[in-house]
Amino acid sequence: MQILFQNFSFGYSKNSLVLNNINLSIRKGEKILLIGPTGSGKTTLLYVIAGFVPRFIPGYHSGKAEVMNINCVNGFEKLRTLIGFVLQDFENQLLGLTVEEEIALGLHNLGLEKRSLEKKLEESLNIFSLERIRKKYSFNISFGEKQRVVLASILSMNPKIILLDEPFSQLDDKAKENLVNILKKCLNDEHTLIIAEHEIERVMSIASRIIILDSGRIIYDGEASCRDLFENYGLLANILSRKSFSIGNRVVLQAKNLMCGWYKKAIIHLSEFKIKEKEIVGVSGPNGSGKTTLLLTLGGYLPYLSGEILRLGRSVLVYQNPDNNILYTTVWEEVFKAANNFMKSDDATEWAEELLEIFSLKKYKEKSPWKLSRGERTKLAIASALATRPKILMLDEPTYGLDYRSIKILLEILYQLADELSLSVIVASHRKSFLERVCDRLYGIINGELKEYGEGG
Amino acid sequence: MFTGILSYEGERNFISQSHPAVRILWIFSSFVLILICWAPIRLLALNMIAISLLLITIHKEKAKLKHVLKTFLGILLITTLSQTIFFYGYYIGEKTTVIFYLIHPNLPIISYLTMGKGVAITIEGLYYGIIVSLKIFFTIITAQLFIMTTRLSEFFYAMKRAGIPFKIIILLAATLRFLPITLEEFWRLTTVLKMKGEKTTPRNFPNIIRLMLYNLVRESVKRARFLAISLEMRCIRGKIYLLPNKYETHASFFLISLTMLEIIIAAML
Repeated sequence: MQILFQNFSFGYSKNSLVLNNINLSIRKGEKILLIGPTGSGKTTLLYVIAGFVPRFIPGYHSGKAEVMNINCVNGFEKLRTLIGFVLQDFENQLLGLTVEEEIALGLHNLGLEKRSLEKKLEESLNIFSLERIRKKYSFNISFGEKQRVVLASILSMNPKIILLDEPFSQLDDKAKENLVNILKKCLNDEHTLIIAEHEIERVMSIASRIIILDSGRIIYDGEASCRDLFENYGLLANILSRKSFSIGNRVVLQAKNLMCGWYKKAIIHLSEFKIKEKEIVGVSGPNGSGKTTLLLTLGGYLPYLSGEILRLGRSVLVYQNPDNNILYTTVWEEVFKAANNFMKSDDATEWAEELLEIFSLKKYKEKSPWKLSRGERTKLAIASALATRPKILMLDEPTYGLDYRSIKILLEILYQLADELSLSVIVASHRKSFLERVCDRLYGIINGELKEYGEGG
Repeated sequence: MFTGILSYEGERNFISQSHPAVRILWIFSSFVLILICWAPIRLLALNMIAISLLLITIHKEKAKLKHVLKTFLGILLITTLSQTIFFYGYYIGEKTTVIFYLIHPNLPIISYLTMGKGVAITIEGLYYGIIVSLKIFFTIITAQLFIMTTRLSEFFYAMKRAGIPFKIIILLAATLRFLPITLEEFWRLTTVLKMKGEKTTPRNFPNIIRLMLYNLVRESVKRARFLAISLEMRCIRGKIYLLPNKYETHASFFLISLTMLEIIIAAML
């Protein structure tokens, strides 16, 4: 067996296990899809395989975890030449070199001679279609390109085992398609692949085996042809429902002939954009098309270059990475302080209590936000934004890192609050299918132009 | 936003076309000169050179240049004012000539807090403020020019050739790598503070500073951790290979001449 886990458990303490009694064996060349709800332990399992535990992530562990007969718990030095790992936040893996230098860095550290290094480099640039941007600074390229660069830099080191942590979560449809094609092209029977992912449909064509994790335990391990099973576990997009209440009459935000951008450089132009009370409007567009710039401008947090905006009430933005919205040291402070900046202390206490109740965060009141799971942090970021009683809530890629069950729970809360508070919601996402399911109206960014292209549902 | 100010400028200017070793020599000499130089005319001359270099480097992007200059002039103004107002010489009893009082020494409570001195603008304080801000202005512009025109691999390579230990190079490189991100982070935090309704009143200022620092440090530690993991995953052992790049002899020569000019200015004027 190439990867072998026997009764392996891991937790940040003995009482809170993230992985619980894992028994797993993976043969050489297998292509595995690792799925499960947010916080089920997928990333931690990948970290253990890569040898990060306890070297980078200290905690309690018991049982056996081996990769090619190397103990994962103390074998990082040996494992790192065998394993290639693309982290979920892959941007943090770039060291700020140009594209070709980024790829060459690992190769050189493997001790390759200059000639063979250059040959390998050319091969990688060719396979990952990076020749055109080879001289570019790796921070000045698009999101999809960055991921291709990280993948190229890792695969060029010829690892035996490749670990990908939610590689599709931040990519638009075109970039996702490209990634699937690249993986099909690069991987052969010598490579073992483990992908942790929520977008199951996308990976099904690559995977030969599926492992489902829930609360740190393996609940399914078998063939990759089990659509019924996915539906039973709520792992497919079709569980998302539409809102049932009707839209109000009052327009709360209207923009005309608006030009948005940075340093007087126009990025997006729109002829007309409007949103009514209780309306949910979607904005779709590929990576780097300027969705966040548009939201910041519409919200009044970025000056616009020309045009006009009429806003009846305050707007708040919840960033793609909810951690970006978190400021304070406890869950309670996060919601209460935001509320208290806009209302009296008694009202703020009441409103904050109510929000924590609605978002099922009351039990974590005194906890640090950083001790919560990803899904809970997303809820907290939204609760904190709503604490300020805005008229318009803007969500930037709200599905990022969340499984469909978590998205469904979040949507139901949002529908309830939108109805009760007459809240308007703008959702920006590269997942057009998600927007079509949940929005009343849709806008799309095509070649720097925002256009309305129909109703959702 | 800030990442834009500090973004890499490609190979369009002579600094990025000069050899990395020459660039390292230039930046180190500039920093040493600015440390030892106190004469206003010399400082002015050095700043003129720095501004000219900045204009040459990003003259094509007018909006960006305007933004950069505006930010830097803001820093210059704030430094001059703060250094003038809180000139140490005035408070420890050195002989100074008061131009006017911002807070008169006879004002109750404040007088006690300021050792009976009040807050005054003095000729000596103004002079000191201008000197310090000229030094800071030069340092910021030169550092920014270096960051904008030097790839990390070039930096690694030149430092390694200079015999600097790899652990120190990694530290310096990580600082360079993080600077634009930290500035970007700073801008994001100000937006989030605005969204959460944190007031920018003097009373709330300590709270804002505390929140900013806490979040900036936490985020930097997180990023540094991932960067360390990433480096280890790629078996980093400190071998740096500089991919073939076109370095122009005339560009290196020009930068060396400029460094010599800076030394002459600092020594002669």
